[in-house]
Amino acid sequence: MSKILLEDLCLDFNIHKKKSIKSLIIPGSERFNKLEPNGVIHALRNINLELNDGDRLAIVGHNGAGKSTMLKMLAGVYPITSGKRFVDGRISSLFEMSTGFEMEATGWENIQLRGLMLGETPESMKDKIAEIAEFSELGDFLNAPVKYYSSGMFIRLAFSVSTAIEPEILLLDEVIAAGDAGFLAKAKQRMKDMMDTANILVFVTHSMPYAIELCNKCIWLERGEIVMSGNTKEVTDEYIKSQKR
Amino acid sequence: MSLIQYFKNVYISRFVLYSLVSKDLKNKYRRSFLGIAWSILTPLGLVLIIGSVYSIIWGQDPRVLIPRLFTGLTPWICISSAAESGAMSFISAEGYIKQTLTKIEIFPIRAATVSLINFLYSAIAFFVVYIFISPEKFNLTMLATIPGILILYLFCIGFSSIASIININIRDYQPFQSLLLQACFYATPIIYPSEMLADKGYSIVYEINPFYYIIEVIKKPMTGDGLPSVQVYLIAVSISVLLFVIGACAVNKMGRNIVFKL
Repeated sequence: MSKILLEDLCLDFNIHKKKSIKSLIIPGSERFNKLEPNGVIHALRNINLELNDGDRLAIVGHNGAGKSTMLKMLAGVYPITSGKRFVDGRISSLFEMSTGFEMEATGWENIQLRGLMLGETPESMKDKIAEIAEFSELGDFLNAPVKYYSSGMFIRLAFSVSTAIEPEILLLDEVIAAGDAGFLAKAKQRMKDMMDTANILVFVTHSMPYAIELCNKCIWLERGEIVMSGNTKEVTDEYIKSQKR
Repeated sequence: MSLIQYFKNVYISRFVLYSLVSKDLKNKYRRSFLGIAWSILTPLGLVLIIGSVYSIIWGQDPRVLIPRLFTGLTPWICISSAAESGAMSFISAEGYIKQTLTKIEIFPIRAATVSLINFLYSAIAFFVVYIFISPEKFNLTMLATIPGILILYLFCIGFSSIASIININIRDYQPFQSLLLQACFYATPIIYPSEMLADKGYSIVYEINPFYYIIEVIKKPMTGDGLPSVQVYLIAVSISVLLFVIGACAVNKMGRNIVFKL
């Protein structure tokens, strides 16, 4: 049994105005910081959401609408400012790709480290590491330092680890798109399979056909607020319509 | 309360800590021909350079000077590198902190542990060399090096945690700390004996210097010169525990809010 329940949830970012000696000597050199006068950005506003076993939620919206923040908040990476956040279930997540790797270390070492960070133990990783390596199809590249990897190879590595740890709640950012066609098909199949074991999927995407294919629920975020929620087909249709206007 | 939570969090992320530390140790000398041997060669070389310079200037017997330098300098390097990498410990781990729920408590500990292990390597090298130079100095009081190392470790974790928290709030701290450490290095009897300051009437410089006490509980037993006084032990333990408690509570209080500061 897994559950996600959000009530009137808000999340503010304090963009700290960086006082530097330059801004004291040259007044006006801080003009790029005037995005928000008091330095607060409301990343998520009045979010209400309930997800239960079997729910697959797609999050759509423009860049900067708060989609990735929403995922990170669900994961517990970002603490909330006000409201209620209740998440019950073992979480695995896959966010932006550029960070979170030990560049000098090999693929094998990174699989191990990522697994541990997602809550595995060295004991449980022993059983899983071969399966993860096989799914990633990286073969001998796993012996090379990951700094030589392409973005597609990073995706393979990260996706393989995140999905191998048998989560109850899986949070995925728009990432698998960088994989090649073969891997994309495989990843999609795996996400479908996971719906039998994982209970809840939250998926940020810009690909509407994907959203419709994988998800039964959808929310459309804009400036940190839910503009529309409901059936995936209806929400994505509305969203596409608004784009064309 | 937050101290209990601190230990719980460290326990939760202990495997990640272990994995990161072993990776750091490997990475430092990855691809170098001598590899981990550099952890021993670097302090040894440094001591040989400083030792030969000073034994020429002061005309001291290098067999006395070099062990004293080595046992003072290596714990100092341990402290300063723990502080330096501690100050950057959250910033360099930004990717992990923003992607996973790894407890942030482990990152300053990671910096301190890597420094301590490098110190242990050089301590082993020291004993191996020392038994050939001065076998007569070897005695049971040398075992007191072990509690000394524990005090040093606690001190390093505390220092590293405090440095990490200050630096995440005030980024000017890291370059400032480098200067401060340099100043403390000269104010601590490491390359010169403490008697030299005392003779000139400046004993206050090391008496109020916390580094002096931490180094003293290692240096003296390590060279086989007997045990430091009870007073030195009491002060060293108090400083370490105090620093550790402050650091642990500060890091624990910061918690997940750190993502807004990175």
